[in-house]
Amino acid sequence: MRSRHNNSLIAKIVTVVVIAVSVIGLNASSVFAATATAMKDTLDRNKVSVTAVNHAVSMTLPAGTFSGTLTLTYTNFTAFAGTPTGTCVGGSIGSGTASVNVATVTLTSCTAGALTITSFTGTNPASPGSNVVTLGGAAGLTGTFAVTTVTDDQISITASIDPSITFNVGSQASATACDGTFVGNGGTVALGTLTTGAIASSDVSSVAHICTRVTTNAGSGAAVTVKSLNAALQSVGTPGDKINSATAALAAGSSGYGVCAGSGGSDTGKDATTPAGVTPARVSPFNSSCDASNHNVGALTTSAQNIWTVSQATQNAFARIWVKAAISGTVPAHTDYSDTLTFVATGTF
Amino acid sequence: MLLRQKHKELIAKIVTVAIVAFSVMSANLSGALAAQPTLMKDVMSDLTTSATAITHVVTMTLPGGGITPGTTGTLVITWPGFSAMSGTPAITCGTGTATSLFSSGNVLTITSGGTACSGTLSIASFTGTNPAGAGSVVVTVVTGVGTGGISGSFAVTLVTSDQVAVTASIDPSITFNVGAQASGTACAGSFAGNGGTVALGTLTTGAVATSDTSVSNICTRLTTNAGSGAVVTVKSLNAALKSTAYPSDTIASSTATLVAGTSGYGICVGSSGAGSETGKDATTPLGATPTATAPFASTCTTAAHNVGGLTTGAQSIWSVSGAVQNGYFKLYMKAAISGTVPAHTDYADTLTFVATGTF
Repeated sequence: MRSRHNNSLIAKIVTVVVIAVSVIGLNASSVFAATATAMKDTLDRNKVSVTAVNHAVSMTLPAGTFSGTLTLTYTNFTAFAGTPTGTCVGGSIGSGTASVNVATVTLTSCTAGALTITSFTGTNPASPGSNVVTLGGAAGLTGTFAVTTVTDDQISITASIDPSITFNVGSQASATACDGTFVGNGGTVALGTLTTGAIASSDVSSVAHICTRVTTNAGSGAAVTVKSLNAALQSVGTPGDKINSATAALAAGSSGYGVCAGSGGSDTGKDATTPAGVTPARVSPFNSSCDASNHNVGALTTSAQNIWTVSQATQNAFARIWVKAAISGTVPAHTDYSDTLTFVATGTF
Repeated sequence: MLLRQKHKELIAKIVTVAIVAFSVMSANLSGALAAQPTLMKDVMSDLTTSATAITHVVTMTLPGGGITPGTTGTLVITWPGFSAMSGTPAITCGTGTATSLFSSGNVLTITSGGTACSGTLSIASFTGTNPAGAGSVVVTVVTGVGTGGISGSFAVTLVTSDQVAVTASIDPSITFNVGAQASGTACAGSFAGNGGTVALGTLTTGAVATSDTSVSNICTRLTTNAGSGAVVTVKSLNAALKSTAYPSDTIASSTATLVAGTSGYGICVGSSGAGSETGKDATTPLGATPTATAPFASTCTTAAHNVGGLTTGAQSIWSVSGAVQNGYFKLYMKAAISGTVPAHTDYADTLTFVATGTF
């Protein structure tokens, strides 16, 4: 009988002890305050009085298991809003509250390691300086850190670019590459002695061609025009004797004269730039097949006509221009057939 | 008549007794009034009650001939209430020699050597346990009896606690300045600017536009006691110089060595070194040194144009690994254009700098 009574008493004592140990264990984090380390809050603005500034808090928890509320109280901050939440090692962080200058989250079984809290905003203090943030709450975490506010945290960077266009046009020795380095100006294309047996053409039999080069930052591009003094090869001594210019595929034995923009791949080009410049586009009637053996020329007139254009800015855009002529047997013989071509480059800014 | 005679005899007896008594008292006067040591003290290392292993250093000046083998014999010093005193601490006499021995845990007996120990008496350091009660404790110093005996006392005090804890705290702190300053102006720890504009001017294909060639630089200054240091970040509004009126016309930012005629834009941290472009206050403890962060950390001067690409996300541009006072860095803005960058007068960007300490 007495033994049964003793056993009952022992059982009660054990039960009380177990319950006590459990309670103490559950509240360990609350009983023993622990200081977090590596605490920081990365604001997206430091400027005073800026509203809706995003906060990104991080810290390292010490050894232990932490459950309960964690409060972050910000000196001088106001208008906290949002639903702060975050992550931690070993546990979780529930959605919390942000009000006035306090952000609160609830930790569940967070253990040693990195803890982050985001998703809340606030208004920065009105004065520049250092502002203390204090940790508190039932989770038992303590610590302080600081964030700074400054009168202004932004620098405006400004720049301007003046409008610009440069242009070169000149004759260039036969078969010499026309490219972005061309620096010639003016000159003469001597077609030589015309015959009915062949088409006189640039880059054939040492006849020069014309090279044109444009650089411009005109946002709407630029145009290169050509204007003929005579719209023909005309005898100086006998002006009535002409080789008229017309759009045509010149053929030996048929009278004709004109220019065309080279259609070969190397006849046009531009610098590789950032931003990329635009490639010269040949303009009709000067844009047909045009090389040493293809003689599709455009008619020259006494008015300016586009011969090539760029639709936007370009750097060292170039185009080779071929001058071609042919005669029939009835074109009077003279040694003074000539014409003058005037090229103009115009940018549209 | 008979009565008068008896009175005379009584008076005579009284006078005789008095004379005899005075004589006896005079003869023993030197033995009854012992000489007192002077300048007695015990310098203790701790006055806290019950404190153990407390160091004592005793000194005094002995009177007359001091501790004389033939007369005083020994000198006994007693510390009432003290305990755990033991050993044979060495004795130093002004003249002569002596030895010592503890007994009863708080009584030290000093015995003169072959010659008298006189003058200044010093007892080498010994230890003991303080009494349990606070207050004044009288330490007695006595010798054997006889002509030339020594007797005196002095006091030591015991207190409940003799220590004062001194505490202080330092709030976490971080302050920051960032601003534009005139071309060629030194960026220093005294910088106090905020915000501003860096006007790169009219860009051309013939040169790289850069801070400190008639263009403002940016000075950043940071002070923090954050043990894990701090970082300064920069974020660009456009990641480019962008025309306000024609937003598609941009000078994109990228990490590169800018050259005239090639489009580019960016920022870099001055590389001319401590004193002229970066530095900190000389403090105790020594502050951390500002360190430029890639891609903004290449050679960067008015003639070296290695910029880092700006992005719309915050990037670290320089940092310190620990606390620093007035850590600073000069920043250079640079831009260059190719011939195809459209002409506008309104290219702009906004840089936002943020300083964050890790405590």
